[in-house]
Amino acid sequence: MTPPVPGGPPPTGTPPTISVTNLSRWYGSVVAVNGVSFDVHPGVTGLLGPNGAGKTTLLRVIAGLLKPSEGAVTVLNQPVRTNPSLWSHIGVMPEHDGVYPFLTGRQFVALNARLHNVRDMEASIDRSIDAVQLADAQHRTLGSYSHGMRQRMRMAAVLVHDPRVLLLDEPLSGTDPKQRAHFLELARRLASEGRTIVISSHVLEEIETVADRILLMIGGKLAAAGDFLVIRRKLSERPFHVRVVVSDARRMAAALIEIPEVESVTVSSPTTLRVLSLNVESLQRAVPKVAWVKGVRLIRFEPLDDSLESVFSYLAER
Amino acid sequence: MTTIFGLALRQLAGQRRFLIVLFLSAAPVVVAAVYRQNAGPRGADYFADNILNQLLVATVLPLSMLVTGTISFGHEIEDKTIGYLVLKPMPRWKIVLPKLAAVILMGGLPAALGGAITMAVMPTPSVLDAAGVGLALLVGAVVYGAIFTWAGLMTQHAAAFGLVYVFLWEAAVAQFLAGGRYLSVRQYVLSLIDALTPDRLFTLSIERVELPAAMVGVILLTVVFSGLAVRRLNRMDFP
Repeated sequence: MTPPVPGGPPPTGTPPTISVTNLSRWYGSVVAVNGVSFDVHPGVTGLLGPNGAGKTTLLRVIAGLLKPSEGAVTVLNQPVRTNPSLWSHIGVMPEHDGVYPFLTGRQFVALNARLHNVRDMEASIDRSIDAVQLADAQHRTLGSYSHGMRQRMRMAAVLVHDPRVLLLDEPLSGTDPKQRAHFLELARRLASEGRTIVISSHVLEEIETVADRILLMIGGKLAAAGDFLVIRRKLSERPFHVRVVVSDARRMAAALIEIPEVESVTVSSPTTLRVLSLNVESLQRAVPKVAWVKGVRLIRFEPLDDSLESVFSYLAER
Repeated sequence: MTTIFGLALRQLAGQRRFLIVLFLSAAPVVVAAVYRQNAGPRGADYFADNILNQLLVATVLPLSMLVTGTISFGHEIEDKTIGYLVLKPMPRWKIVLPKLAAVILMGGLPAALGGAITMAVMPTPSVLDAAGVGLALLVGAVVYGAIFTWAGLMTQHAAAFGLVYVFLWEAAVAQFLAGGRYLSVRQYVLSLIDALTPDRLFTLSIERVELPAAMVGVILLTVVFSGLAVRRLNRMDFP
């Protein structure tokens, strides 16, 4: 059994809100989640990984929508599957934006409130719709909403029963930058009130400003877990290939090989270099200085493998 | 439960396939009206019994229930909205029962009303016949509703399953298999019509299920398939 990986330093003496132990889930011969163990504590945890990494399956198992093939999940120290009373404390926003198109936004939120037996219903509905800033559109049918508006009204429906645990699968997809900023601010506020929020995303930058901790999924496995800054450091310390275009590639190569940030240099053409570095941030600062000292004109500095997939691949190999 | 019932009614009423139910329910009325216009009372009982047996009981009722029963949960699964119902702090039977009630209302009521009106526009109309046929069809709708609601949860091909069930089991196997009629909703409905309407079905030589056996069958199948639907909802994976 894989030992649980703590999702960052837990608040002192607080038991984990979500505990996942040796969890696997497969569909026929396809393994979607493979022997994953971790704990989640109050605050915002980012579930990060490329498409197909198993994030959605993992969230659906935690929510109780899917049976695990192996392993166990507890939320608030209780098994979640076939435990309806627990859903009073959990809010789930699935990835797909399926809604009842004939309901107005307000009716949709009210439906969720009624099914949760929310007390003081009208006030709760008003509060959740205000939280996603959709009061003006609340009497329009969901079928007439844009994708981003549906996402926000679905978020309002998730919030209406004031859950302690929020499981949000790609909540930022289809939202514009303004909506994204507002959503992240909302998530921060909800977390500061003691809630546990898990947000999945395949875009690191999307959740880096809000997530205290990161769970990095790759190929159904947990590739890394912990404090966001630790993961970020690991990402920035990985070897990067950088293309540097200068007026004199040979002279620049001779100078660059002398500096500690550079592992190797290849001259591709009279004006182009391919540099391998373990610290691209430091290299970014050093290259203009070297060029200036050597009297070489720097034309372009271009990381070659900065896609998220290459970052994930690197961490998966470690 | 009224929340889910109301939602289910709106879902079913908004489906294009619901037009099939309305068309099916209206068809026997039109046939009866045309017959009344063009034929006299002679042979009317034989015609009424056949329209009742072949069209209302064997076709309109099961197909109407097949349409509404299978889309009740089928569309929730297809549209991935079922999570909004199951991720709630309530037992699953509180989801199945209002869904089933909506299916019976939206599928069974038009079929039952259609059946009653059909009897009322026959050349030899009888209020008792109309009421008896309507009630028997409604009881049949309850059993079919339970079976097809369960089927909608079990398979994405519930409509195909239902057609095979209606036209292979109900129309063929249950008629000819020894004792098979005791497991036939169609036979239960005919038995009820026989008991409720003294003037109907006498022109047909059908070997009918006794009324007590039919009532036991109605209750048993309804309870078993409703229970299976709740069990399925407790155990299945949701999209």
